[in-house]
Amino acid sequence: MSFISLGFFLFSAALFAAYFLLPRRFQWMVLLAASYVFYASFSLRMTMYLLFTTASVFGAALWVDTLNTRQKGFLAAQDKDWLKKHKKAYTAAGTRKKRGVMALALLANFGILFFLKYYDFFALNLNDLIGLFGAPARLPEFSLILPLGLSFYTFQAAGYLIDVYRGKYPADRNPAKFALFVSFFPQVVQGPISRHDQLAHQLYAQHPFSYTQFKYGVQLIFWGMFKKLLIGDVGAQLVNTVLKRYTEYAGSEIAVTVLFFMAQIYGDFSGGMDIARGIAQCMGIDMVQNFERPHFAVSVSDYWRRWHITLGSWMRDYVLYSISLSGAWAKLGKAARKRLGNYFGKLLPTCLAMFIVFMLVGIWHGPGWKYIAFGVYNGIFIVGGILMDKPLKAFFAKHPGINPSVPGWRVLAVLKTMFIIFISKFFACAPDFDVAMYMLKSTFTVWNPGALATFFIRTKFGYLNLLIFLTGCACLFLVSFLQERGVPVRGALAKKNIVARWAVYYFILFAVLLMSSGLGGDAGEFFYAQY
Amino acid sequence: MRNIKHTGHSAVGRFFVKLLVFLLIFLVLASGLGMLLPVGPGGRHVRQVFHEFREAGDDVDILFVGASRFYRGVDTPALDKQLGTESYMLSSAGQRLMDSYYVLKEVYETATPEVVVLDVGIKRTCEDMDDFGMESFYRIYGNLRPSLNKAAYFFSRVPFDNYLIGLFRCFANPYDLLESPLDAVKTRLSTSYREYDPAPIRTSNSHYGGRGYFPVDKTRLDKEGGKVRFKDWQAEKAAFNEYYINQCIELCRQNGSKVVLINMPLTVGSVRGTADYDDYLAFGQRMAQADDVFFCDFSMLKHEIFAPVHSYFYDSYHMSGKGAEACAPVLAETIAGSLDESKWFYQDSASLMDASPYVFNTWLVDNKDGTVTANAYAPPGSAVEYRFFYAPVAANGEAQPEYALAREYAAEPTVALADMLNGQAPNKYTIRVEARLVGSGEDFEQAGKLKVTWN
Repeated sequence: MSFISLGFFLFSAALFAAYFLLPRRFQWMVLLAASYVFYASFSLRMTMYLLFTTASVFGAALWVDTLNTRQKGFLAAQDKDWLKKHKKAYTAAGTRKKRGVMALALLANFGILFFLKYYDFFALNLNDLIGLFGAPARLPEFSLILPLGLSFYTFQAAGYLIDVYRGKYPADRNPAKFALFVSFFPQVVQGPISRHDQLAHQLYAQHPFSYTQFKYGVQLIFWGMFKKLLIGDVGAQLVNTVLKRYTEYAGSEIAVTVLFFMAQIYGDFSGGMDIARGIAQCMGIDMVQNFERPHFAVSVSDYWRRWHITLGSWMRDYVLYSISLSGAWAKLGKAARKRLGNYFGKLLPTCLAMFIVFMLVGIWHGPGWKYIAFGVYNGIFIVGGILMDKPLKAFFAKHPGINPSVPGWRVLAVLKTMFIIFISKFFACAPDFDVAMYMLKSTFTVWNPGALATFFIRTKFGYLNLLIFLTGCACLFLVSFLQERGVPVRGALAKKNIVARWAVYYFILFAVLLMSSGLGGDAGEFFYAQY
Repeated sequence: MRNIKHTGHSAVGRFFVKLLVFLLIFLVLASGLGMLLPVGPGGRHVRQVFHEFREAGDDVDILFVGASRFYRGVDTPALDKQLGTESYMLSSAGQRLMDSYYVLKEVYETATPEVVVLDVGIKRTCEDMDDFGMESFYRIYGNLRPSLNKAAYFFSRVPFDNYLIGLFRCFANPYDLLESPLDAVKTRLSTSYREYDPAPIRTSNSHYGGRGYFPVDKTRLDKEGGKVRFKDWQAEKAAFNEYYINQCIELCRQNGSKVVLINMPLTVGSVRGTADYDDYLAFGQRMAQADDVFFCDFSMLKHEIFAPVHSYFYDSYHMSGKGAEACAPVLAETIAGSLDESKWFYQDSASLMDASPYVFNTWLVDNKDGTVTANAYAPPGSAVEYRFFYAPVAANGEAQPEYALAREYAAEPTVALADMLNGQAPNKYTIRVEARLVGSGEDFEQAGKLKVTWN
């Protein structure tokens, strides 16, 4: 059941009716039932994976929490002498036990993720490698089907378990409520990757009907559909056509295609997020933002703070901090400072940790060298940014005439960032690494701008689609620009008279309805759902 | 309602009033957008025939229900001259057997024809719900009167996910809205449209012939070329349509009408290009026996009764006006019940092909070694000769209309591109082959084409 289908519309209508008409104490149960119905509508069999993750993480977190409580209780009951002599050893033993439980649960869940998502890639490359040495042994390849949203809900559940282990909050005591946290239907397919302390209490709370919340929720749903259908799906038509026969196009045409892909992927993913957040908002649940106008970023690190925010913050909190605070990294820092001096010695462990994180971000997107290249490429610019930070500040301090906060400089910084991101999208959009390299080479060597004159005709994309796509992009740019300037767009719209407001509503509604049916079978499939 | 009460009845009431007004405006706008959709002769034709049929009241003796092969191939005025009856064609492009059932249900609300002739062409009997195009639905749905039958038709025919586009055609054809919106509005508001003037129902190649008949004046069979291939016979899908054929027969019986099942003539090439054609014949005969009705496949008519010459066909699937006129006497005798089944028809598709007087399929194959080979389906034992042409493909992908002769008629089917395109600039070229039986008096009998790259 796609977000963009009549079935989902009726499903949502029935859910809202049940959610608000039944006694409030049943609201979370209604959500749980709806979430499982929604997930099972894609595949009943794949629900087993969701159940396994829920059960294993719930059990492990409860165990860890019990160990925590027992440990605290035991320590509280001991006298000072005992604590002096044995506290450290006792705590260390307890931590080992908790870590063991957590590691086991994480291993099981990330093991499933690895096996289903990455095993074939791993086997293929290992087979190639051992083939180089003439060994006849071969690992079998299985062509496994990836359960929908596996990466998203595994990361969300794993984040919760790590937080419980760290003692950030106690474990959930109700398995059914926890099942709702993991499976909450608006986010289960393509995120955002929510945190337990941000989302769970809202899911379990009782929400009265609020007309304003509901109205804002519906607005957000339709705005998301607008982005998805007019930018994501229309853009995809051109991108898919060119990628099928990428060798037949000039560099300038490939560059335009990748630009379309940048807009397509943003419209698709952020549109999906808006729909998810809108549905939740209708029920009074405030889901975390996953995008903050990434195309206004002034640096690559700024871009990653604005793009897929929840993945970035997950990586920061659970990978970057874990690496940076580890004993091995402390030793590395010490050794680096000794050999490279205080400045670079301090930066080296940070840079290395950031590089590893971005490699993992790349790999998170999928199995394939193109994703690894995507991660490495971004990692290089992130590390470069860290290394250049101090020299740049020194440069600006020395040249007070150059003011990096003036609009012109900011525009240049945005353009520079977008160019770097544009190059990275070659890896994201190409079907594999070799194709990405071919397209990159072609872009910079066989430019032939004259080919663009007939590009939209030859691809059968047509000028009407171009007009629709550009209209969508212009609307998105306008809204993003206003938001970037701090204008609350929905608030401003609410202050307009009914004619102006409804004109905007009808424009978006008709654009969505016309495009959702006009695009045929492709409409409604979200790009990030494959991850 | 506990959760809503706190917002106050007036707030909830205001919300629902606003929602209602919003939806009403939506209905008006969506219907208005429908006015911007182009009005083609095809759409006007169906609108016209439903109107004329209602005007005729209960005077119709013979009713034809089916798809385009019926309204192109059954010359109702010529038939009436021969039989002295009032016949009418209530067919529409792409009409499915399910559609025909609901059309017949509407018919019997006002008329009781003596004979109902149902189109059971092979394509129609092999379509299932997945094949159901919405355009053919709109043509019928928009012309049915508001009734329970119309509602039942909507829910049977429109998949759940398409309910919105079923109700508002503009959402199914968003790109068409910008084609010529002003012309569309002008047409819909024009006197000729409102008063059902049949004169504008014409294209450059066809005109409205009256009584639902919409003949094509010329043939394009010579331009089509290629290996003609239709949907193969699919027994599973036929079972779905058999249900609706039986429903139609049952409905006609209940209303005292005699039923005749007919497949209008196909070219011999089409029969040859359809795998398991004889299974279709067996299906038709089995159904006829089971339901005690008459089934006739006019594609199997012996050539001395009806010779399927090229000029009788608009394309490999539809008859031309000339063919419809030629077929009318056969149809008249069939309906009158005076045909001799054992003498008129070939027993199977092989016998039909053996008797074919001409090449009935031609196509080209790129051998990927710098040569192309022409292929042809021709009667067994006959010799075929081919001639070749070429034309450069224009930048927009369309072939230039002017072909240059590359090789005159000869029996050798394979030619080298180097011989054909020697001295030509590197480009993509369209190669055309024309074939005829050796000794044939025709300029050519079948043509095929293929795009190749010449470096």
